[in-house]
Amino acid sequence: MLTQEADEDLMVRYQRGEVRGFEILLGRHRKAVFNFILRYVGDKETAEDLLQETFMRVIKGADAYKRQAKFTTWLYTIARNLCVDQTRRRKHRKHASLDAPMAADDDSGTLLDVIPSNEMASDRKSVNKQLYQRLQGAIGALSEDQREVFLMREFLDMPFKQIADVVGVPENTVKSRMRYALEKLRLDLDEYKDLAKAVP
Amino acid sequence: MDPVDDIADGEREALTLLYDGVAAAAASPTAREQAASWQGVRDVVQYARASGFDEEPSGRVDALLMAAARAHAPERPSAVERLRRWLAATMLQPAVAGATALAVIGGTAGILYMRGQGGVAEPTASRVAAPPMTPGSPPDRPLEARSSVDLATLGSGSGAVAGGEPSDVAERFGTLEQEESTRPMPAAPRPEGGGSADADKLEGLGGDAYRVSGREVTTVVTTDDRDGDLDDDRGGVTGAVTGGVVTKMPIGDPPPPPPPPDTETDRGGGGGDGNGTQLQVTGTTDPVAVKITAVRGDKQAPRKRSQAENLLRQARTAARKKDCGTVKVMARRAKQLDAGYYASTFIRDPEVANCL
Repeated sequence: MLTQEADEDLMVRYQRGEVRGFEILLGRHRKAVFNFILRYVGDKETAEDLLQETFMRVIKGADAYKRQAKFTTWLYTIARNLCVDQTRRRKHRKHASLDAPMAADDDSGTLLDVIPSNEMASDRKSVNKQLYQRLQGAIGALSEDQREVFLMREFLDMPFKQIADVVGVPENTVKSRMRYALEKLRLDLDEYKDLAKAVP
Repeated sequence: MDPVDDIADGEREALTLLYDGVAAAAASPTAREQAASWQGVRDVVQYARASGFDEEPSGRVDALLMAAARAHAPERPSAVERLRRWLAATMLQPAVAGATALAVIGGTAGILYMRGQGGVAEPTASRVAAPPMTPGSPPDRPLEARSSVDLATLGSGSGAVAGGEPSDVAERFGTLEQEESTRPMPAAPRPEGGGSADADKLEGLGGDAYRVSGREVTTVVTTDDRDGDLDDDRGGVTGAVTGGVVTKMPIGDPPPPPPPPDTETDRGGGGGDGNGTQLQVTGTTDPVAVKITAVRGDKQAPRKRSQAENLLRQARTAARKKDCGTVKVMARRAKQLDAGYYASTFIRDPEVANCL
């Protein structure tokens, strides 16, 4: 079955002209890569543009792809580099606006709505919405180095060794960044840990 | 850059415990405690992702990417080319090549054995020309069926005629009074002057067969039977007659038969494979086939137009985002799909035109 083939085999198929190979690869990785980018840049429209650009580079670079290279390492490296470039372009906006919507949709609330609030919403939907905003805020508050390591580990399920290859630092450095990220998030999300435990 | 890029042993152990599933019993109490506190963070993140924190990219991105993937995909080699590559790769293996050669030889020998009923088939003439089609004799069987007749069949058929049992072959090729397949062997001395035999062209057998009214008709040969002393010209056919009279009749350009109503035929005279017996159907002007092709073309046109329109919509979206590279890809694709729509509408779209 084509859908069960390894990423690398599908990429080779696409190199030979089988568009179906690329279609399966896209379906397999689009969501994970999109959420990685979305949590990295924090903006849905930008994330879609970067997702598109990521896979466009895969398409254009297909000729040069070698079967020996791990496809996900290549794909995630492209996505990560685009995120880094995008973040650098936005450097002048160092601080998130406190009254700007945090997500693309207008009813996503602002940081002012979330930060001082100690009240737990009465229903699960509201609580979840608060959690999403808090989580996005906490991830956005991480340093860029810590954020990318955390997102690759948790959202792309990459081993530390592969993260080290993509980021280009020693594995110990990756682990150190992960440790700091987890520690900061623990402090930010402490009030929600019981919520997660309560869910069967 | 983090203030410290190193990590304590206990913390590294905790991370290993957390992500690599190392048995907790093997970890130190400090590492276990640290891992438990971080596990709370992971639980929250996993809960959030499972309950709707993760989002789906829009289908528009998928459509654009698939269009680009199709446009950039290298040309897929044809089935013949892939077979050729596979054979080339396979035949490089000596064992496979040897096995294949054995199979081919064995198969050929088997076929010959079956045909020859136990003996190796002698290289007798194997084919007889299709009967000439005179203007007054319309074909009563498909041309393909008449293009080749096994001489052995003809021989047995003639025997049957002699025995009073008409066969299909005999009916088709007229009366064969007597015939035996005695192909002239190269070593056989040629009779000198002996019996006279008038070699007449067998009625219905075209330029390759003869009826001899003296002794026996010996054979029917084709132009590639050039052994012995038979006089042979290119494109001609030689009838070898044991009675000593050899009649040669050229078959280079037999009188063209009236063409059947629905086929264009090419009778191989001196051309083709050289034996003048091939009948080739070179093409068809069957109106039904033409009509089917036309209908297929008509059905595809609206679909291509619809695809081209979709591409225009996607190209507009890309043009608004100043993504002219994608617009160009779309334009190429639209042109391939529907050149008329491309020229009349696609490139005249103001948003798209800015990018082209």
